[in-house]
Amino acid sequence: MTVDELVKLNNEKRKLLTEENEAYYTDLVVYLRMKWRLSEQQTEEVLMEMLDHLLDAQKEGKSAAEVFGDEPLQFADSLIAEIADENPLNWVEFFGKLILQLLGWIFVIRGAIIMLFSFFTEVKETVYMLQAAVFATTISLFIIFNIWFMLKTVKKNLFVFPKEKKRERKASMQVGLAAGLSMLVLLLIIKFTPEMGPTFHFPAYLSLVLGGIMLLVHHFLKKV
Amino acid sequence: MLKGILEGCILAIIEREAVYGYTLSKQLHENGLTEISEGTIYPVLLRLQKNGYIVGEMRPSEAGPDRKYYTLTPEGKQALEQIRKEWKSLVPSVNNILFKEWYDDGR
Repeated sequence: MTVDELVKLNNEKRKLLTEENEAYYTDLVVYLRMKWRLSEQQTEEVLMEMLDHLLDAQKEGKSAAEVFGDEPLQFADSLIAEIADENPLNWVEFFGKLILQLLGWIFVIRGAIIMLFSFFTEVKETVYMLQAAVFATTISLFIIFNIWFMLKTVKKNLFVFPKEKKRERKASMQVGLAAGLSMLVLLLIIKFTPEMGPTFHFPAYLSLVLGGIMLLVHHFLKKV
Repeated sequence: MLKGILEGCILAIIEREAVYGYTLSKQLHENGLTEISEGTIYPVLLRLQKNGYIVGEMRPSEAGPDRKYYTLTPEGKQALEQIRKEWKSLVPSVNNILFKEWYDDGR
């Protein structure tokens, strides 16, 4: 089975767990999936095996803690130590697709905004390369920071039982606050970075076409 | 030392018949290894696969859904024989050390 099929089946089967077992097992799933270094295929396969095991044990009235032990974090780490690393080629592919998609959207949105505004006012279609470099760096840092902060918050709340609504709400608020504040910083940097560096003309229609092609290529790559 | 012993027990069970995780842990328990939690077998199974001692294959189970059944490879068979040999020579020595007084008294 492919990774996507395994993930889908996992979501289906997890519904059969009792609330307590589901909380324990789901934390295992989240913790293992967060380890981006690991082979996705192997990770999903062993997660599925353990889910089947837990479902069998549940029928006999056993709890997840009885099956996998009282130290879920240690148990998860002992699994992680044995799972192979992801093939580096898959990493190149993953990031390649991500960057292609991101750039595609940025070009399409830029083209659309310029076209829209050009009905009402004069819009510059010039790109200042140093300014664009600052924007690209800031946007990348914004994305990396928010993913990092979200993962950190999720990790802090793993393997704390019983699950409390209050704790989860607090975590969501922290993530939301970090996203809001970093967005503000992002907008300020974009607003106040002066036009600088060598320039080239990048008309709106070209931006739209180029972005569109990139998104199309991404779409087809996803299907392969 | 004990880690290698659990590996040996798992290899020996798999040698007898192809098993999946749940039945494997059942058999360990039925043989009296009740101290170890059932989940402990999964890191070991991953390690044995990495070493090429066992291979997993999806097959329908008696219960219905497909399960990952493990079988021994020729390398696994070799490793198991090695563990058997080591264990055989280890047991009398360890007994000697642990129960020296018993043996002496019995004499």
